[in-house]
Amino acid sequence: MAQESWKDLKDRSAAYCKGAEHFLNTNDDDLIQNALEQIHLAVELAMKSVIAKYGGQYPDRGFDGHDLLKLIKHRYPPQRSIYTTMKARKELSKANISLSKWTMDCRYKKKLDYANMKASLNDYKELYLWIRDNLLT
Amino acid sequence: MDKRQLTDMITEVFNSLTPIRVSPFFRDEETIEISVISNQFKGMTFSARFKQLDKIVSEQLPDLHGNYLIIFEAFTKEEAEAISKDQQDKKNQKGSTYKESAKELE
Repeated sequence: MAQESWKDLKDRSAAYCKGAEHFLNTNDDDLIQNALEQIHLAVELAMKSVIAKYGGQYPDRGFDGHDLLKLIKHRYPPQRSIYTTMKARKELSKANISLSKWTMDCRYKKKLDYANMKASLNDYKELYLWIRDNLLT
Repeated sequence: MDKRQLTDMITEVFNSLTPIRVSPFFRDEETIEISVISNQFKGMTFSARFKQLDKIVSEQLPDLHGNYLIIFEAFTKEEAEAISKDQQDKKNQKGSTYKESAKELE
């Protein structure tokens, strides 16, 4: 599959974030699961957009293409990654919290409580916004 | 500082949570997974637990916090036992069961 342009990826990630916010604002337990899927995609596409913007090749097939822990450390020229940039700017807490295990897995589980999922979604969103505002301007 | 020393420091840094178990695992050169089992997590969202753990590491082990991506796992004893029962027969991508995988991490 051809690599998409970083601007297309950025636009798609923004659209997924918008969808997640819409579901979140409905305060509907059933829809929050969808919101988590959408915000995960927003972060994933934002990460791929950064890699593409700086001349890298993002993984676009199989599990690696969806693995945020791999994408955040994926190298693009000259030997940088989103992780190394966050590290240099002392902003790793956002990644530590957003990419911790329950947050990453909860979108696969059914009928977890709303407060937990909403909090996780907001953590994801913080990471998405940081990437967008610092690396995709 | 070697990994053994770091492991000891990580294990001690969460003493204020009176943990039942702290398990650090160096996943690669850039990533550490830290699993903490503590009943002090009761009533807290997972987000709040991760923020508390991240704050403890950033304040008490700033060099570690500044250099590694840290993936937290934070459960009460009851939650950890429920997950173990639920996952013990499942296999991961390498074909290892949950129990075998847990041993690989130790």
